Order: sequence, then C-alpha cells, then structure tokens
Amino acid sequence: MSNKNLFLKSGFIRAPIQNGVGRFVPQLQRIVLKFCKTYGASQGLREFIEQDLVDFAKENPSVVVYLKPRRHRGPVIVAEYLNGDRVWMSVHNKTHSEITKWIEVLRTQQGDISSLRLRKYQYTDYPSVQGPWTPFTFKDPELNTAQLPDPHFGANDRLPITATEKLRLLFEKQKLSDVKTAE
Amino acid sequence: MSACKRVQQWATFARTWHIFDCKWQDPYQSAGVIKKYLMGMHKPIYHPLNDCGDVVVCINSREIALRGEDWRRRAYFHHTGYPGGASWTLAWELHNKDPTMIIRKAVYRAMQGNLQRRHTMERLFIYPGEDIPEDVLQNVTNQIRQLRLVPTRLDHIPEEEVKNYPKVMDYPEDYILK
Amino acid sequence: MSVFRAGLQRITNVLKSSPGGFLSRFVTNLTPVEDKAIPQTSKEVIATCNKLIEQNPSRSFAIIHLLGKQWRVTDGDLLVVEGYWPPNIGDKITLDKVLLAATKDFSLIGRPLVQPGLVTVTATVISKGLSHTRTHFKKKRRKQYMRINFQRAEQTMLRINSVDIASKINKPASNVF
Repeated sequence: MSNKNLFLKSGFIRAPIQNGVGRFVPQLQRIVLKFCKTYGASQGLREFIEQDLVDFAKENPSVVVYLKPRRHRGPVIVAEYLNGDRVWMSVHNKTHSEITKWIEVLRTQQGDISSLRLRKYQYTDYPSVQGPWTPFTFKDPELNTAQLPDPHFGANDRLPITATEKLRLLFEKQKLSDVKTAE
Repeated sequence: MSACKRVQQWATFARTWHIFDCKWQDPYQSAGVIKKYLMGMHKPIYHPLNDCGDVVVCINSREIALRGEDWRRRAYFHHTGYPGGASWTLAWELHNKDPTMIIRKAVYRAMQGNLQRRHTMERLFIYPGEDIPEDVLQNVTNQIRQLRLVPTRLDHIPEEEVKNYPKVMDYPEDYILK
Repeated sequence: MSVFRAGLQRITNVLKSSPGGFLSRFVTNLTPVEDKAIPQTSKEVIATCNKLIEQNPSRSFAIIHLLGKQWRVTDGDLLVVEGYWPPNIGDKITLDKVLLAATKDFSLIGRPLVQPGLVTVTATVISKGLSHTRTHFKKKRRKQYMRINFQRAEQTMLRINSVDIASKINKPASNVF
C-alpha cells in the first residue's frame, strides 16, 4: 500500500443536504478574525476591519462575524462551515487586497474542500438513461441466425461506389424508364 | 433484475468471438482493426485494467495481399542469440513456411509491448484456409468487416452475367480481339 | 445452446439458399434499382417525439459544452469545473451550449448545437473554492536540475436543476438572445 493518502484524503464530490435543489443555502456559518492592535503583521487585517468589515457583514446576514483582538500574536482567520469543517488560516503580513480575496474564497466555498483530492469531477444518481451498453446494442438481429463467415456481414460496405457499378445502375435506370415510356 | 437483463449483463462481461476473413486484405492495416477487438477497445466499457478483450478468429490467412514489392523486399529478422545467429527471412519465404506467421506478427507489432500482449495474443486464432474446427466455429457470433473489397476474377463470374453486362460501345468491325 | 443455434442456422440456410462465396462483391453492392418516392416518415417521427414530450415526462439528459469540456448532465447532477469562471455562489444560470438532448425514447443531436430555446438546462452555483495543492516536481538525475512548483486551481461546483426539452422539435429557431 502506498502512503499517498496519509496526508491528503481523496474522495468524491458531494454537496451537503441537497444544496442547490430548490433552494440555496450559503455554507459559511461563522468567521473569526484574530488580530493584534499594534503589530505590523496585522496591518492588512486591521485595514480590512476598518474599511470593509461592516459591508461584508451587511451583505452576508447568514454569517456570524467575530473580532478577537489579542496582544502580540499573529493575525489569523478561522472560518466555520455548516458541515462542521473549520478552516484555520494565517494572514501574517498579508495586504488588505490579499485578505479581501482570501475572505471571498472562505465565504464562497462549502467546506474545507482543499483538503480533499477529487477522484471524479461529476456525480450523478442516474448513470444511464437509455440503458447501459450490451454486446447486442446496435447489432443487426440477422446476425443471430446467420451462418458465419458470410460475405454479407464480412465485406466492406462503406466504400464509395465504383465507376463500373455506377454505370450498371445508370443502365438499369435507363431500362426502367424505357419500359415506362413503352407502357 | 429480469432474466433478459441478466443475460445481457452476463454477455457484456463475457468474451465475444469474432471472425475475420483475411482474403485479399493488407495484414498491417487489418492488424490495427483486429487489435482493437482483441483488446476490447471497440467497447464503451473499455479500460486498460478491465479484462474485456474478445476472441478473434482469422481465416484465409494464406490469401493475404501485401503492398507493392513487399513480398520480395520485406524481411523478417530473427536472432538466435549466438554469434552469427542473425537471419533475415523474406516475406514470401516466411509465408511459404508458415502462412499464419505474417498476420500474427503484424497483430503482435500493432499492440504495445507490455506484459499483457502475449496473453492477448493467445486469444487470436489464425487458420490458413477456410476449414476451421467445428468447436471454434460454433462460438463465433460476429464478423469483423474487411477493409478492402475482394476482387472477383472475370472467369469466376458466370458467363451469362458477363454477356448481359451493359456495353459502353461496340468494338469497330476491323478491331482484332486477342 | 449450440444445438439451438445450429437448428436456427439450418432453417435460415433452407430459407436463403443463395450462394455467397466468391460473388461477394455482387452480393454486397447490389442495390435494388427502383424509382420510388422517399416515404414521408420524418414528419411522423417528429410528431411522435413531440407527443412523447408532452405526455410522458421521462428523465432526460443532455450533453453540454462548458469551459471547453463536454458533460453529460441530468437533473440533480453535481459538476466541478476548474479554472477561472465569473459566476458566483447562489447564481442560477442557463447552460446554452447543448450538443445533444435525449430522453429514454429518442435523442436530439445538434449540428453542432441544438436550436436555441428547444432545450433548457438550468444550474445553480453551489460552491467556489480552491482545489488541493498539486505538486509539480521535476528532477533530472546527475544534471543538477530540480524544480518544484505548487498550484491550486479554482474549482466551481454546480448543481444541475433541470434538463427540459420543449415540445417544439423542428419549429424554426427564434432568436432568444
């Protein structure tokens, strides 16, 4: 056995409780911004709190926002989701615009999706609508009773018509029309 | 699951037997087609790890057609492993020795050289003529279409049909037929 | 089974009793020469399909073209598309590039797309995030060459809400855009 999956789990895509069928529920439940009031590493996060946090909270009424000032420690964002996932992220020395983008990522994802390697990029409950393939699909039923080998089934029937054959068909058509005019 | 569905599913994962008539066929082009059936690549359920290959029965391998000067020029190389053990056999010589060898080698070379190749080749049956064992024939349920048209010799067409064939023009009276 | 097959073959041999063999070319290429009008079946087929859509809403699926890939979708499917894609979570979108739409009984094949307005595929964007970290590790032995790169792709998850075929096959396409 390989130890590839010891650190990175692999799995299949799923959405919590039929999300998107009928209604859509944003999956971010709570976000905690931890920062220091004096440290330079928290500069970007402080700017975000001063300028954008109120708008963020207003635009996302389903999200609970906590601020946790703490002295002389690095800035951290913790996001918690409806499926119980908790994402911890250090924003040490990150600028205001970087933090805006990261918070947008945390807001839009439905859980800790980066910790899962997807094995399939599609999930369906109905793998086949018109029925699965069998060796009889699109087969000529005449084959059931034919005695093989038979040139009727073995000869290439996709070739373009030869000049000789074309001539013969022309001739027979002419014969037919001759018969008709005679009648 | 109904009985019909169960049979269909059984057949999906069972081996199907195909027959291929090598008469007047280019072995190197036919090999590409035969290979697909042997490996199961003609099925939508194909996967390299899925053992879904079929059985192919080739008949009339004595009557294959090679292109251009191939009968005289194409050489098959063999080395015994000992010094001076190299030998080159021309295609016509090989065909005289074993009329199934050219098509077998063509199919073998059309497949990738992996561990599966020799097992896949076990599913290929080649017969020099039309006579094949009854127990092989009764398994066959499908025929692979040939790539080329098998030409018909003029002396094999009934005389009546030749006579009744439409003429584009009549020969002039002073034309001397050979 | 084989006895049964042999019996069937004997019956057909009696019924056919025509020689194949060396005249294979004439057997295969001999098309009967008749000057008959082509039967007007296509209209009936289209009418039947329209009726089927109206009365029997069986499950339908479609093949859609999305971000350079083709997906077979039906109601309730989940898709994950990778790469930059503007729609945000909660957006309801219509996937318009429909290459094929089908139910249990028939298929509509686009050339290359089915006409606009005939098939409606709606979807909701559920989640947007980043994939797991993919490691690109390159090394050449004995050449003092080693590169390691990490990348994370944007992933957007879609829920397919409906695949609907309108009962107006073969109606002239109106410009819906």
